[in-house]
Amino acid sequence: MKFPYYPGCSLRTSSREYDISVQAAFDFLDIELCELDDWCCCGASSAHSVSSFLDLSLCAINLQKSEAQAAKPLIAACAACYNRLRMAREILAKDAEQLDFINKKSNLHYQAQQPVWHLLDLLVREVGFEQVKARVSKPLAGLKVASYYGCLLVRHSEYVAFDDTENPVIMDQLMAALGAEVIDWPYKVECCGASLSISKTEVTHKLCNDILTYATKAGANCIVTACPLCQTNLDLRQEGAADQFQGKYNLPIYYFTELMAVAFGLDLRRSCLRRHLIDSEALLDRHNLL
Amino acid sequence: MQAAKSSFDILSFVNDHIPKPLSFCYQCGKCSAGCPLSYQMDILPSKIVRLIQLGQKDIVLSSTTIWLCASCNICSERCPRYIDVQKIMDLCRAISYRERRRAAEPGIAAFHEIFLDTVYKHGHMYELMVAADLNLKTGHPFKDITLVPALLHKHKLTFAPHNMSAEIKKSVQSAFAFYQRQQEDDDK
Repeated sequence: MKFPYYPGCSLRTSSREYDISVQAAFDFLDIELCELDDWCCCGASSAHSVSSFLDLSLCAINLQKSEAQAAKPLIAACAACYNRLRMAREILAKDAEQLDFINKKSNLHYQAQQPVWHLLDLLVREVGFEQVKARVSKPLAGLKVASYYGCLLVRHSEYVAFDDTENPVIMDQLMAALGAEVIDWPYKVECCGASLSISKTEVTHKLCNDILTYATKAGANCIVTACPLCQTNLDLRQEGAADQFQGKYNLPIYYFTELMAVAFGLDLRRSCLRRHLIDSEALLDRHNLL
Repeated sequence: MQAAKSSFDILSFVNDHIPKPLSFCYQCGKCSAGCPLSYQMDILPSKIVRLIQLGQKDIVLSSTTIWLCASCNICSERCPRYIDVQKIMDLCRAISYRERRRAAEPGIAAFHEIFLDTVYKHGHMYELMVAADLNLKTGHPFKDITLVPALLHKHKLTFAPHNMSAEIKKSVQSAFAFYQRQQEDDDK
């Protein structure tokens, strides 16, 4: 199966390990993710914070490219990109006047027909957990995983949700299929601070301290995410958060695709795991998973 | 620093851009209760809604609230009256930029402009430039410098910006050109 794929800016730079593990894990499941032959930034949170027009236009540029390239839904890996692209598509599909305006002013001819899915949604619709479980050669026994969904995969629910908004379970079910112990905890959809990580770091320290503390209290020995900014905030800022709040945690932060790859027996130690700032190999080594 | 023009009615402007009218709000406070940044804001999200209802544009646009909003969408999601509170924050930021007001959180306001500037120039967000430019503009040139050795070691720093194709460049520049005209047009 082939799907058009939108990686997003950070998957080509500081979160390369997400892209690498996405390709490895989905390739293993016989799903080919074909990157758009060209694309621009979706605008993330900065575009909509400044201008609704710019937000919709930047997304429409990419959505138009995808429409021209393939009939299947466009797949996004980054939660922010997914959120903006999906919202643009849903808004413009229902508002012909606004679609026409965007097309005119940005010299586009976007139709707003092709759906936009996140990788997790693709996994559920086209693969299923039974199939995933059948391909596992190294069940993740010993891993107590707190699944962290963050904000943009689940809100605004009317536009983007493909799972429950307050208590999503898709990633938990995936972790169970991979053989890990699923930890139930109350901070699944609490904000990590997003781009405030750069513009007001102490806020991200506070929010991530809360997430990391609650995951630890709930009994998790790692956290799994589906967003490069969430992963970066919980990983890169973990030490800073611990310093600022005397936090007592040391949790590796995995992308769900990295854990999929581990469970499938693929070797991503150097290309992916070693790119994390918090040691993400020791836990897996302890349980003979690498 | 504030633009002399643009004395438009903030309540009408907001009502024109959200699905349900602001008069629907009955001040239940769920937006403020769910907001992860409320602990740091000078005015709670629910109070911002009330102030807009009362036409208090200057108080609203001088708040730290509209800048500290992380766009997590919890407010809009939890509102029992379907008020898109997050969109209201977007609208307030947009007005603030358009009127060239001094933001109560200048670093955050600068961040969005710097981010978009790199997208305009390169098609993709250029991380290193965003970090460096923001550090300089906010007077903290060495912020996060202790992270650099680890980032280098982990190959997380990309030194060269992306090169966009001519086709994408044309589209990106069209979009930004209109956005710039919108910013200069005080009547809109």
